[in-house]
Amino acid sequence: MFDASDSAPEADITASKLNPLFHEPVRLAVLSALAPSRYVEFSMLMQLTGASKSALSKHLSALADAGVIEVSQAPADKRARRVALSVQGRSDFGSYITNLERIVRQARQYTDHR
Amino acid sequence: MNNDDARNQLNLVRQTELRSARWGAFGTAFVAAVFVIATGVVIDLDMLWLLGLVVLGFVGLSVARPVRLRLDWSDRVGVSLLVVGVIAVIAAYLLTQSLVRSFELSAPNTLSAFAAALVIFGVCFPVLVRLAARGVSAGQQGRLGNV
Repeated sequence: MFDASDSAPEADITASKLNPLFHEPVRLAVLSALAPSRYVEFSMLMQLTGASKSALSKHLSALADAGVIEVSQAPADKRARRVALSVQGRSDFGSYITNLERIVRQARQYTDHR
Repeated sequence: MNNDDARNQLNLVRQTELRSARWGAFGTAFVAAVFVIATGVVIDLDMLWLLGLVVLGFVGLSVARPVRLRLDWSDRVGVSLLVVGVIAVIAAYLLTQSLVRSFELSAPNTLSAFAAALVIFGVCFPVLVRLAARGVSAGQQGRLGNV
């Protein structure tokens, strides 16, 4: 198995650029669900990520504290919460995905080279 | 993080993005289809005064959608397909209308609206998914998740 951290020096740089906040699968699923949308309601996020209400609330708080997402009330139903990626969050998530793709690409080049 | 972890993370991202885009596109297509059918029914019942209520219902449903898509309008092919989809919806409405009228069936507008709704789901829905998914990948090179 190729490990990005033990072969190419560029891979070291790439790995260190990965935001550790996004590593957790539920957080990554939340950000992925928010990426193609302007907003997603909390109940739909639960369905899309498969996370429980309490777990999702916890992860959303962590992401909101980091300024990655914005949580607001739905105009039609004040009890419903709408979650959206912030401008900074969208940019950070894009960089995270680009870095993941770079790791996979480097691994592929490494195996092709061998 | 090693290659397998990165690939697994990318697969999770792609799957969730697609699911979210599909839900968002379904919501939009559903609201549009309900609006078209409701308009057809109201016209056939000759209760045009209800059109205001139909428009209000359309706005209400649009606002209450659980997912609102962020479409990539820079995708020229996707935008062209959406325009073709809208033209196809209108064409389906008019064609069904003329067929129903030529066979002298009742409720021509309702039947035409159902035909238009089918085209909305058959043509516009996948185009909306494409436009939403392209919005995510814009600026990123190649999709390496599912390899």
